Amino acid sequence: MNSGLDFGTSTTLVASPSGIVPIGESRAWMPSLVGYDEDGNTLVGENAQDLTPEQLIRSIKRFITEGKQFVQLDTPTGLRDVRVDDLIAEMLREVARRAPILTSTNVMMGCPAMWDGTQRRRLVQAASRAGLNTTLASLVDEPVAAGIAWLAANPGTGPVRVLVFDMGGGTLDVAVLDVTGDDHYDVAVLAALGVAEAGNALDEAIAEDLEFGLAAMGIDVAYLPRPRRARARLLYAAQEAKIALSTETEIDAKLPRRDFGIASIPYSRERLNRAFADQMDRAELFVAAALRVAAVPSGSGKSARDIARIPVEDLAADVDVVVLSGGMSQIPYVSERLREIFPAHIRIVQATSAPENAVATGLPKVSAYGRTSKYRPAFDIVLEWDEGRQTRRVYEAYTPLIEPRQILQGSADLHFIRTGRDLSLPDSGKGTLRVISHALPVQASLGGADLDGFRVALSQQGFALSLYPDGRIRLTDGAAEYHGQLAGWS
Amino acid sequence: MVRARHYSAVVTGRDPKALARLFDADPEAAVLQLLQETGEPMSAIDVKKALQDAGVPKTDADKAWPTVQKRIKVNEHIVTEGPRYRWNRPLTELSPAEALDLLVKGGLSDSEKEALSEVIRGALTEAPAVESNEDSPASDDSGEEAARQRQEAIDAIRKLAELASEVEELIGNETDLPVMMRQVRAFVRRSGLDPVGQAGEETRFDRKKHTPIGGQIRDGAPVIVVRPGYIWKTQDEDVLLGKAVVED
Repeated sequence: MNSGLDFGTSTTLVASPSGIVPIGESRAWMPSLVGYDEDGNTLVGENAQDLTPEQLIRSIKRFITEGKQFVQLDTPTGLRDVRVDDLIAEMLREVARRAPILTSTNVMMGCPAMWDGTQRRRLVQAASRAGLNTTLASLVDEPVAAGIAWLAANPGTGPVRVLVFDMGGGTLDVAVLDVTGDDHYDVAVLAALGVAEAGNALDEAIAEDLEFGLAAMGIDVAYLPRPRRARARLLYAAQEAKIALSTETEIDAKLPRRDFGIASIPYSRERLNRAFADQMDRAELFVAAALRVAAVPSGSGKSARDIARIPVEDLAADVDVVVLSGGMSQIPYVSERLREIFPAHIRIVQATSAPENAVATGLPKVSAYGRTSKYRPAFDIVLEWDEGRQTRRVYEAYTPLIEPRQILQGSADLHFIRTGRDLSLPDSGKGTLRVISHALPVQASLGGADLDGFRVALSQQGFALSLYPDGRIRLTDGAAEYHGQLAGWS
Repeated sequence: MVRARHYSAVVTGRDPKALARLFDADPEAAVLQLLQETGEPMSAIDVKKALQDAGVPKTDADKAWPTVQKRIKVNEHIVTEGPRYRWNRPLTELSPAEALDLLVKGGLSDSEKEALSEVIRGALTEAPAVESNEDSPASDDSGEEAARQRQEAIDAIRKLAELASEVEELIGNETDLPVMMRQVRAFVRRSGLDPVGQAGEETRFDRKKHTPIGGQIRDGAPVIVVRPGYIWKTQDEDVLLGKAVVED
């Protein structure tokens, strides 16, 4: 049996196959907080909420995204640089104490779609140190988990292309999945892109809008007795307005009469939509980028320019279902804008009834699905020689085969390539290619033989291995050129 | 067929010659170690290939195989699955859940069943683990269920707490009463409740929706709503939580 662990930027959630397992003191989630108290104890979750800002870290997951190893914390022995991974391990240990299911099952963990192999390994190592039974293969891109949450609850037949739009407080992740196979259980990830665009930026845009509204009524916030407090209050009112306007079309934003002179100011969904428009413009471009990347594997022979030229409407028409997840996805404007890209016959649905839970809900169900990532394949290709004493990683798992900007820049050839010069290969001798899978077994041919175990003539100038999104492989070495194919990719 | 996992220095990170040296000394021990480390079913071809990759000459592997094969077939740690051999963890190392799965699957000897029962019995009589958070759930499925029920109860009463906070905040802000009314109604709507009537509303008496103050009131008679009722809308049903209280 599998369990799911959604280690989020602000909240952490655990799930079993039957649903969310509550781990908070009074919430289903635990806040993703960690820090030290005056006695040097590590505090995690709600216990850490009372620490001062210097003692506490709020979004520790970002340190992995940003590649930072250390963070400065106020400890009993003074300001110190503490190792981030130690804190993450401590946090996960606490989560495991609250949810023993995590130490008695295989734990599937979510991670941002944009994380590379190094970032994924960091999380897996921290989890292992915390006593969780998890490997690289049990990391799942968060939008893929959300997509599977929906698929598991909506079984169907026939191949289906799903676009997952996961908009949370801190990030937007978009994934494109092809679901095929008997019983609908083979999931191929064609694209999985993420961007750190804060949904929290909308709160600030609404607060600014409220300030303009007050100015129109003759109330200038800058000249109020306590402008800083007033602006903080506006942000507070904005956060509430955002939530209320998901179900109402007009609300009264709450203000203290003693500070502002009035106790409420009307705010409409229309104005929220206008404040949100720029952000959704960018989100739309992001969706288009993901659709273009998804078009590459089946567009063999098409150049980057060809793919860049396909109208978005045509790319969108290939999608069957748009699945929404993340806290921001409940804002009606999100589906309204997506409806402008995806015509009426394409369903736009919520991944689960509680969008913040979608990732956690999907994670325990992922193992029922065969997952192949054509965008960031889950295997390493390694070149060994000198009886295994020398090795080079030719392709590192989870490296995107193509970058979206390659399409936009019209790069001549859309594929991943690594040369002998990149790898500092010698100019003579023979080596062997090895394939190490972190997920499903990999079947691949090269030059009429297996890729795994293929003998290579070493050459710094002559060696080049290319992987194409449609699964084609091309190798040149010191001797000749070979062609091959990853099985099941096209 | 291409094998995904490969016994090599890259995967295991250990001295690639160690297995070859062990094979020289004791071929059976080397094959057993190989199977234990791989953890997956391996056919004769897989085993020989792995040995060769580890540096054992092909002829040596081929020559030793018939004897080794006979021995590992009867080794208590080895399970044969068709043409493949797999290292089997001792039953006592299984978790209670794994033990139960195997028992249910069936096809076991009496001694195997006894060993698995012991594992499960042991788990049932074990004291619960010390929790850092006193209110957190226990480890088994019923603990999960208890945690969910607790959460549901908390979520329900939290809505009440939030409504109370909302009203107090509005009063503290010196909010105009009509605005306050709108806010409270919107809050209640968001919580999944549909109002039956609004205070002050003029309507006609309907005994299905209204409770009269004072004596009976005829259906259809003009009334004023004193206190609204609510309907709780869920996925499966609508629950009338209370009728509107009206007077004529």
